[in-house]
Amino acid sequence: MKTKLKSYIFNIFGILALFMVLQSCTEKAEIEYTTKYIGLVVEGEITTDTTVHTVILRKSNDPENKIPVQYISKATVTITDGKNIFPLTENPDKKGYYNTLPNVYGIPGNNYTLNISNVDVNNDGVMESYSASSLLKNELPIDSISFFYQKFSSDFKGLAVNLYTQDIGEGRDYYLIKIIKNSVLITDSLYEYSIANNSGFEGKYYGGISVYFLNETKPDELVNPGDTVTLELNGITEDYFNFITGIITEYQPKNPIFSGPSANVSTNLTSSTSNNVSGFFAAYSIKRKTRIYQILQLPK
Amino acid sequence: MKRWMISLLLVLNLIYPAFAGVENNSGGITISGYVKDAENGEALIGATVVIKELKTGVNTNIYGFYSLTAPTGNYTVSYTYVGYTTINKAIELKTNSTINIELKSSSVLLDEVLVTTERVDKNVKDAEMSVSKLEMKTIKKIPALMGEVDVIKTIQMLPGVVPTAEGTSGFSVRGGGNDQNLIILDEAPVYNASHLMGFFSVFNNDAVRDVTLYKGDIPANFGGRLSSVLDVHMKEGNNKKFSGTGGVGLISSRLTLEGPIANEKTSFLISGRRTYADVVFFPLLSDSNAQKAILYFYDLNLKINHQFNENNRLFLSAYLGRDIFGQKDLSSAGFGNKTATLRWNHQYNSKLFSNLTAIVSNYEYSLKTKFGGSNYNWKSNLLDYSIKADFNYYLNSNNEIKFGVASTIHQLDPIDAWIDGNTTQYFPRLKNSELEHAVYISNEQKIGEKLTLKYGLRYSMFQNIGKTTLNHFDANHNFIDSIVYPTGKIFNTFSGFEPRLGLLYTLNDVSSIKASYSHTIQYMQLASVSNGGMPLDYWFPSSPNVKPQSADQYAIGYFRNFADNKIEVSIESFYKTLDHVIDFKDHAQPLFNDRLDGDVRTGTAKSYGLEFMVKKNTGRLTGWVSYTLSKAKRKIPEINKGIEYPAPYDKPNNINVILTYELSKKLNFSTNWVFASGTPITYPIGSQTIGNIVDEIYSSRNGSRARDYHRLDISLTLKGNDNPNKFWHGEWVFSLYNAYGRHNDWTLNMVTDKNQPNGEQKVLHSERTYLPFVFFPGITYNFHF
Repeated sequence: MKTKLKSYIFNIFGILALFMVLQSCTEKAEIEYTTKYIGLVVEGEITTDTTVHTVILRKSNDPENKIPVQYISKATVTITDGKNIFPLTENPDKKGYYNTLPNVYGIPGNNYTLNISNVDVNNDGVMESYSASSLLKNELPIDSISFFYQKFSSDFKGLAVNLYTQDIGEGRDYYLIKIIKNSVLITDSLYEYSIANNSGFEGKYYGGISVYFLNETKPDELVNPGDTVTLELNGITEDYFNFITGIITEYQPKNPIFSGPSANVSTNLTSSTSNNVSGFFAAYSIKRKTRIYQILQLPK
Repeated sequence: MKRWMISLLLVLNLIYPAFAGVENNSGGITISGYVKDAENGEALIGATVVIKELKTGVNTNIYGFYSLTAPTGNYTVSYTYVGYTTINKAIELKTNSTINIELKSSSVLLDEVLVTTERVDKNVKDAEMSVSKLEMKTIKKIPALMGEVDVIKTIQMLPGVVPTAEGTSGFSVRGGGNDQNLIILDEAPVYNASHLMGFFSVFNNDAVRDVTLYKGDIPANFGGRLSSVLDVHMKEGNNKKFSGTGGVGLISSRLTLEGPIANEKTSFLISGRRTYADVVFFPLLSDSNAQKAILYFYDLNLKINHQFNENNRLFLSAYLGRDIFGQKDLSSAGFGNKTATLRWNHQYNSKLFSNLTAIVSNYEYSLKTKFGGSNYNWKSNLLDYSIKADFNYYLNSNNEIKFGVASTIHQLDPIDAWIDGNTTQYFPRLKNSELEHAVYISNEQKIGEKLTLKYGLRYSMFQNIGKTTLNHFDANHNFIDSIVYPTGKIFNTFSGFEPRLGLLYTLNDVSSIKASYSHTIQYMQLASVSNGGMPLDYWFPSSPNVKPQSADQYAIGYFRNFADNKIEVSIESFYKTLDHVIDFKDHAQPLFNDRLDGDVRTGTAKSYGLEFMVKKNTGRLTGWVSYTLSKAKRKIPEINKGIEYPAPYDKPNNINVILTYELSKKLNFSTNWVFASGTPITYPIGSQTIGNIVDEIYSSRNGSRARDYHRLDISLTLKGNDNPNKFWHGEWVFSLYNAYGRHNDWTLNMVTDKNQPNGEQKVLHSERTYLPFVFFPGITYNFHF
């Protein structure tokens, strides 16, 4: 998978990065930013799981994020697949969090649209409305997973999680990989997501390619014999892939050697009443494979 | 490939007879020959040969050859070259004759030369403009990081040139991109001129004879890049005696040996260099990861030349350089250039000189790493085969015609990845091949005593050939489908005329006005989103999806010498427009991208500016001061909402002060101070929280500017006893880089504040990263024998 191999390559280039970056020095820079942007930030998803699906509405902040984050309350939020409309209600305990009923699930092949209305983010007295659409892509079944213990360095060692499955081979597909250990989501941040596409792998068999590395120097990623590890393979759209790529790219420190220019992360949110909207509404399919970690692991 | 070579030879067969038999004496009698260094036999490029009585003359070409035609009569011919004793030779011109001259260096003058102008009034009297020529003895005097003097780091201190990032070997000329510079070593293109992420360039000082940078007014025999040509020549090898040069520095050492083989007709040069931080310093570090690190580079230059007779000479030069890095027992990687050039100089007669060249140039990298129980491999390869023929035809004393033909086949294999033990090819082979051809002709014509015109025309052609895969995209850059073209199928052709014009109007003996216009086309570009560039960047061709880039540059300048040509002053103004300039969509990922051409965005660009320079070439104080005032902008419909934005290398104010003062015969003090406006940067106007990540929201690209950059470097050179009878000559160079400890911005990032006033909410602040080269000392011992 394209993105994972690239990350391996950058592990090698870490030697050069060591030379360039780790040997460099840092200090706080006093910069006066111009804060003139006020917009809606959307974070929402619907998946093939039958569960509560959540959409979070926040207001953008100043460049240094100094002001406490403001959540958008009392909005009207729905998700529709063109036939059915799933209303979302605001969680009384978490302002700005809007939930579906727990019996809602997405169906592969359907196009889901998020509609948001009855919000006035910029407080100009004019109500705004926003929408976003996302195709729920097909699932990719997982044959099996395996683990391989590897030590790169004293602070980068642990379990590589390897994937065995057949690529569908019907064009370019995009994947989001999450890891669950003993029912606890390890990849609980966008920054920890692993994303990949099947560039070069179309129609081929993934015969144990590493798709995630659990670094045991992080307490939550330490896997002991007997622990249950679940690989979650999500079929996502190219737009969501680009969104995650953008979020991670912008979150990582930049330097003149490896980084491109700073830029806004793409969004699939649109509005006829405001240009200032960011975030993403994603629909995606989920397949999981669970295995108990034992010292000696061979592929099933 | 076979068909390509046959076609080229047919063209050459048409050209040769047209001039080879011509030795027209209607314009007078011709003297011709070579001008060389008496000490080592090296050709003196740009030496001046003047018939004093007629006040007419020529410069030697890059092989030291000259040809001068005059009516029959008795004349005094003057052979001059700065730093060398002039020879005045009385001749009776009756028949065509060959006069080879060897000039002796003047040791007094030699040490005083800084930026060489081969003729003392060359700044005023030569028609070419926007060009800087440097010799290694110039470059070796300039203070350098860790004492490692470097060709490209010196180039970066010329007016109109800025580094793409501190410490890198990339440079921008007059607002152009890093990949718009054609870098050639003995006529072979060098696709990645950096070692160790740019802290070193591929050019070993001891193997290089001279360096010429064309910032505009690019001669018609060069093509393929929009902004500049960096033309580097290796030494030919001392054909008088066996000699050696070398140096021992903090992190690298070098040794060059040269001398005659059997007799003066054949000479050789071999030069090597290697860094040894991995051997000397890494094992001393307490960090176990650092102890396992592999990080070094080496390079090797080789040159052999043989003179068969007065009319035929053969040169073979080669370069091999490689960076090796990785971690023991875990991963390894390497990248490097290989070039080889075979040249045949042939003098058909006293007026027609030719050079036939065959070139191979290769840039490749390979990586291997163990992960998850498998060995992953990846390599990338670019291979050029070129053949070219260049002719100098000295029609008469007022016209020097140059013409030639060149053809190159590019073979690119940007991604070839596999897993050990698995026969599956996991990444599609994106191999592609291209043919690039050119024919050119130019003339430098003197009209009266004051006016010289230069005019030339280059016609270039670029062809995509199979086997390769061409993607199709819709108007919004969405992938539609692809087509595979069979081997040898030419499925796309670009071509264009590239006119060159120049004018010199001599106002008087000490001042002149020059103007030039050039149109250039570039068919190959670098897949890189960063300013500095990295070894994994690969070149990709123009294609039906990516139109060739082109540039039109206009320049005008006033040139004036003072104090008997000891002080040169020039002011040049340029205006450059570019079409089909390439950028990439936001967050593009060129690596492993088999649809890269869908991520390309094209538009227009322009740059304009004033370059002011004062140089002092002789005396105890030598050096130059330059100031550049410029602007560089881009406009690409899909970037920055289609609004014009500053180019990445737009630095409106740039000052360079490079001075050397001879304290005594044994002691030199050198300093340079550089100042540049801050790099364009995109500052945020807001932030957004997604999950537990806080990312920035931006307005316009490059809408702000980082802090100004400035730095002072100093060095002291202590020479040993300069007794010419001594076998061994040595000197110590002590240098201090960034002598007043400026923390220049290498990069600015928003980072999470350690103190979080709002609980779990992440408050950010801006953090400056600067390179650790603050008050950074260096010591080098140089020697020659």
